[in-house]
Amino acid sequence: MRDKIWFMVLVLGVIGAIAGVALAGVKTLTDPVIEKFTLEQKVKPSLEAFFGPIGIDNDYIADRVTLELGKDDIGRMQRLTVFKGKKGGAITAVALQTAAPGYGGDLTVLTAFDIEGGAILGVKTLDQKETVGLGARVGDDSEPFIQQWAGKTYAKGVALSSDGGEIDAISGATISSTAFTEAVNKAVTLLGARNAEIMGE
Amino acid sequence: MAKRTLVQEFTKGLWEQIPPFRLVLGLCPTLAVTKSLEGGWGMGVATTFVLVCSNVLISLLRPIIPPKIRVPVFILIIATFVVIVELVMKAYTPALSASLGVFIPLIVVNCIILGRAEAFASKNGVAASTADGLGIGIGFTLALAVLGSIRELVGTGALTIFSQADLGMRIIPLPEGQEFLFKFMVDPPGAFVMLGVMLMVMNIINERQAKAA
Amino acid sequence: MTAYMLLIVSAILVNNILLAQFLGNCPFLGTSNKMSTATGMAMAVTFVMTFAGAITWLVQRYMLIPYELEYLQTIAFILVIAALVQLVEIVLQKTAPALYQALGIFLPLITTNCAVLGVAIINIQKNYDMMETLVHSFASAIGFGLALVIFAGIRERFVLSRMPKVLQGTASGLITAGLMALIFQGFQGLF
Repeated sequence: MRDKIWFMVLVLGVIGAIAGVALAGVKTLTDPVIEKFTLEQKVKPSLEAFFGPIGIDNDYIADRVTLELGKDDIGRMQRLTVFKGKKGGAITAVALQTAAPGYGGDLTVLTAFDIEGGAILGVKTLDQKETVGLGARVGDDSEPFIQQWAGKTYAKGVALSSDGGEIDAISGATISSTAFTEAVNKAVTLLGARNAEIMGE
Repeated sequence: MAKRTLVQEFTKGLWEQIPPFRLVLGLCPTLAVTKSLEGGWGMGVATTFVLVCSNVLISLLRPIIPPKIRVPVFILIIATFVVIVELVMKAYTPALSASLGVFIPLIVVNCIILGRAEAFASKNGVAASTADGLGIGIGFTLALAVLGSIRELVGTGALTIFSQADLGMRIIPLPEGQEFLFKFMVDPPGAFVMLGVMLMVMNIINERQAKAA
Repeated sequence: MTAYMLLIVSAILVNNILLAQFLGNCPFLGTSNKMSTATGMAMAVTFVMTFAGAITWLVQRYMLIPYELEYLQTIAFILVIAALVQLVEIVLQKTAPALYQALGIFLPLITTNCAVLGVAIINIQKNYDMMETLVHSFASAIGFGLALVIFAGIRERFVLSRMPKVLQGTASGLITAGLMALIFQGFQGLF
């Protein structure tokens, strides 16, 4: 029986099916853990630092929404996670999680906006696969490249100084710096384009 | 070859058939991940998990696996466990997962695992296959850990045990801003040379043992 | 055009798949004893790596991404590579028996060549489009072949020299590879 084609196909099929189910199961188990890790270890401390000084008083981690933005040209569903910062029940600040393709993969950035003041509160890299020592420096909060973002106005978008803007890139890491700026720009654009959904309850 | 006891099946992986030295397999990850102690044992544990699981499952299924398609079946089973390890590591040890990078999915083509599946698990019982997998896996982990320690120590003067918990120590003090003298040890050339030297040392030990016998 | 040239130089010299990225070591040390086996393996790998790169890219784009199954990448890719190698074996046997004979047992061994799977994954990680994938896969294979052939040349000389017994075989091979890697590291300053 082991030599029959139908048996071989059956064995492959059954093992494949079981494997598929097992993997889907593990994925559903680990997804929340991964998300929780990013939220606790990266988003929370950063938002504490950004939202704190302007008096935000809600639980902005719990007060988050994820919007589906439609598929990009590769067919991937674009998602936007919005963290709402409220003062006395009204939204005065938001943080948007966006991504842009970097050197080694997608660069995921969290940008905090002071809606009232019209300036960027701060930025944080949530995930990156850039070159260690060069592009990967975007992952370091104390890096001048990251620090310079705080206080920049965003009404007209943001750009690298080499493109006529105000942001100084990391020398030797043009691709990573450009990708980072692109991610922040995406956040700026979405803040305007999807304002109703973002600010709505 | 005489029949081995269960314990012997286990211990053979620790010296006589230790990868990557005696059992010349699994070289790709060996060279790449041993730039630090953490990378070494981390990869070792991940590989051992996949090795034991796949050995056990293949051994259990051996009565029904058609011989003509056994290699694709092995690969399917091994790949499934590799993806499980990938997902679990991404969730619980993200720093290690990021530092091992592409070599985690590459465990699926680690010749050790496929090699044991073909040479052992498909022909032996579950208990023996478990012992075989554990022994060889642990042997591999030890080899990787030792290699990783040597390279990291000589190359940077520090040892990282588990960076997520900030467990590590600096053995040789390093003035601020200076790079360690033997930095090439953590780079590709150092990996090859180190492995070659260790192999040479093992050859020397083996020769002495043969002479004494 | 320059982008592609940079990609090629980078893949062959600066980020040599074998000497800088550690992919493809098992066959490297096993088949580099003789020039003839080395060239055979190099040809086989070039063939498979280029095709595998293209096909896995298509699988990622049209099967994994649309159904949000990216986490199954490892399984999907290795199955594609295994199937591809089988297919290539069968086709070559029928249509170009001379080539099939020349490649010999290296063809099935390529399935477990970490370089093939590694390059396929890297193509996706770096967000390459189809053209870049093809160029990168092909160039990486050339880099692998280059390292392999140089190595084989050196090892053939070793056989004729007097070497301490404990260094013979793989040990000296590894140390030589280390020196080669050191040399190739010099390319890093190219750009």
